[in-house]
Amino acid sequence: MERSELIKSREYWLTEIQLNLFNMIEDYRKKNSLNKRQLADKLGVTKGYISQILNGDFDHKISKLVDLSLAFDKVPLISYRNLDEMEAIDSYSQIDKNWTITITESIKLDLSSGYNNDYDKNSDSIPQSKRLSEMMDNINQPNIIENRKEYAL
Amino acid sequence: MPKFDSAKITAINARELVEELIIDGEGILTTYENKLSKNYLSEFKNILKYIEYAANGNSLPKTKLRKYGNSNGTTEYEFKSDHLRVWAIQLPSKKLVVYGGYKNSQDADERIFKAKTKQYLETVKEIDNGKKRINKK
Repeated sequence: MERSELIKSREYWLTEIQLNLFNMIEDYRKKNSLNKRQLADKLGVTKGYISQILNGDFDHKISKLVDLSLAFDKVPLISYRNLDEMEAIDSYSQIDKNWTITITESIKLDLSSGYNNDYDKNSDSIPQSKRLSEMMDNINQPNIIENRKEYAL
Repeated sequence: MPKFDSAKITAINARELVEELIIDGEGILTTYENKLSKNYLSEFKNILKYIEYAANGNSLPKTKLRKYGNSNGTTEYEFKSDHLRVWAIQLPSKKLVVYGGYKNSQDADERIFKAKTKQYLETVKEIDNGKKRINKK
């Protein structure tokens, strides 16, 4: 399955919300040393309802989600992002994991293709840290990001 | 002796690398997905999300992830949906998906998973030992 198909799926985002809710409640339960029964009593719900949430199967009304969040002294923040934008961020984060490789490639290019031409002929006097720092800045430019993509994927 | 390899599962984007075992050129998870009935595609997506969530260092409910014994010397995982089961092992720098099966054939599938894991780890060990012998020479 392609990554794009997965992150465009209902299952991916529903599961994300369910698992985040599970973690929020499970953290609270453990911190306060509560068992499921005690947790159910605190919320005024049945033990079965708690089990459902802690099994990662919560699929109730939005109002329930808000009630639960507030009961745990949390606010539920829901934000929306364009799917295209999300895909771009997602693929960028994949590229980011290859950061070291990318930088290594950049340095190779620098050393072999006359990066120093941008400087005066005594470029050897330019500290390596400055060159690296400039390269890091350049990486944020769109054309360089394109190059990074090429190396990373 | 089967030839083992591994490849990144491209559908998963997590902090930790997640790969599928490749046996004689055939990706375990890819083959599993291709053979799945369309009815199970939705559950398969859930399983991929569970694996990604775990590979990001998060906890999952016991009903979704069973982490169990290291009979083969490594932590073993069973990712679960209503009808599907996917087994993986923890390696030093990654999770490796070793086998995919079904709830209604769980015991038999688990045995296959354990056998494949054992065979894979022994092969890796043999290769490592071979390298050490070469280095000594």
